[in-house]
Amino acid sequence: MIQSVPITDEELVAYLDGALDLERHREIEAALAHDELLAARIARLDIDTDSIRAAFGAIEDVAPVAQLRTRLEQDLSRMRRVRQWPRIAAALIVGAGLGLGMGLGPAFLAAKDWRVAVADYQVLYTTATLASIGGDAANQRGEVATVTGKLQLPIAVDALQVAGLTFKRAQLLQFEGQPLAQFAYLDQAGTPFAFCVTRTGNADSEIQTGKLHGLSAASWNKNGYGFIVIGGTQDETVRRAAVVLQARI
Amino acid sequence: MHVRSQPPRLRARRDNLRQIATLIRSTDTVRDGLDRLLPRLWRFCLVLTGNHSTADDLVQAACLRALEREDQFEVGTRLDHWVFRIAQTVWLNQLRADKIRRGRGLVPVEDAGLVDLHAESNLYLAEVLSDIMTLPEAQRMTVLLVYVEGYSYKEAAEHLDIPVGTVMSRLAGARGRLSAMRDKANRDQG
Repeated sequence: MIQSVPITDEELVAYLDGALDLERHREIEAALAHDELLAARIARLDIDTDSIRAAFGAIEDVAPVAQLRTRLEQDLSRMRRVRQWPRIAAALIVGAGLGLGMGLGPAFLAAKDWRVAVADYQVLYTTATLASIGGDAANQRGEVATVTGKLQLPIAVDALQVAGLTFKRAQLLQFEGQPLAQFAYLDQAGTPFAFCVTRTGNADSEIQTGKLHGLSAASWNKNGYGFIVIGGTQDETVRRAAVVLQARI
Repeated sequence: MHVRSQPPRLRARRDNLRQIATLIRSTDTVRDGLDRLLPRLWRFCLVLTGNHSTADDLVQAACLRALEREDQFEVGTRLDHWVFRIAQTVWLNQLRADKIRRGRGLVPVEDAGLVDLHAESNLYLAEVLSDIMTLPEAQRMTVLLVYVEGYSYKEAAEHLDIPVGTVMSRLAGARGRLSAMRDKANRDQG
């Protein structure tokens, strides 16, 4: 038997992986049928790739996802979209100049808008971020007192309760040197929502709804503070929550 | 005569619309996708660095880099491949910087049993994992990309910036070593 082209180990691996072209695959298949040496070589290279996949699948299960997510959130809130968002805003403003109609006007999605920063943060939330948190009323009262103290806007825990949403925790964040309060909620389906407040100095404005990063958002201004409710994809849900919160705070 | 071309104003408007759509879509895609990708990205970084806390740091650095460059992500292409590539680049730059700083080369995996799987998980799988983690970095990364992440040889070659032939020889080398380890384990047991 004359072997046409010598078969390399690399080709045997590609044969095992099904990565050879059909012609070469058949040549090797034919050679294996009667070449014991070749059969021994391929046996040495034949390993159980299914168990490799399974073993590595187990690593995913032990990945410290919650920690990674928290660190990422912290860095993101520091990072602030200095590079990307002004460009999007600029594009939107040019678009507006050209008479382009979009669901959200440039006023809603402007550069350095604290609400965009909130949306940047909120898109990283999942059910698991909040599922294991909250429930302890005394803790919540303490959190809310600390956060609203920094904000210099008294808000009672009771005023934060919204039908259909479970209040999970209050956190103090910061936007461009200003304290920003974040009140986190989960709905019954596990969708994360946030109610955020910061001092803006803006004139009072009515509730405005729209999408930010694909999330439903409702925002308004009152007494020099800006407010936003954000989460999920149902505009009506955030608008209803906004109406309730606007009336109380 | 440019009878068929659009008026410049219309064209500008259309281009602007496209630009906005691309920017908004790519940022949404990257942010949403990164969160889902975290377990796999951590695994990738763990195999790459061979160390838990370094893997944590690398995930962080890669995510931030990806978010900084999110408008460079082409919608419709694979986000996982894009982010893995970023992690790989960040790591190589880090190694290069370390090498210059401390005058030393690649860091070997010091502890082959560095991945503690849940106690209830299969011991055989834990052994497979530990064997792979003892492979030289070049081989274990190629094994991860091709056999775990499902990269084609060509995709793995592009990711690692090496010829396809080198991908194949690394896989052959890895398979040879793994089967030698398996044989030795069998002999030890028998």
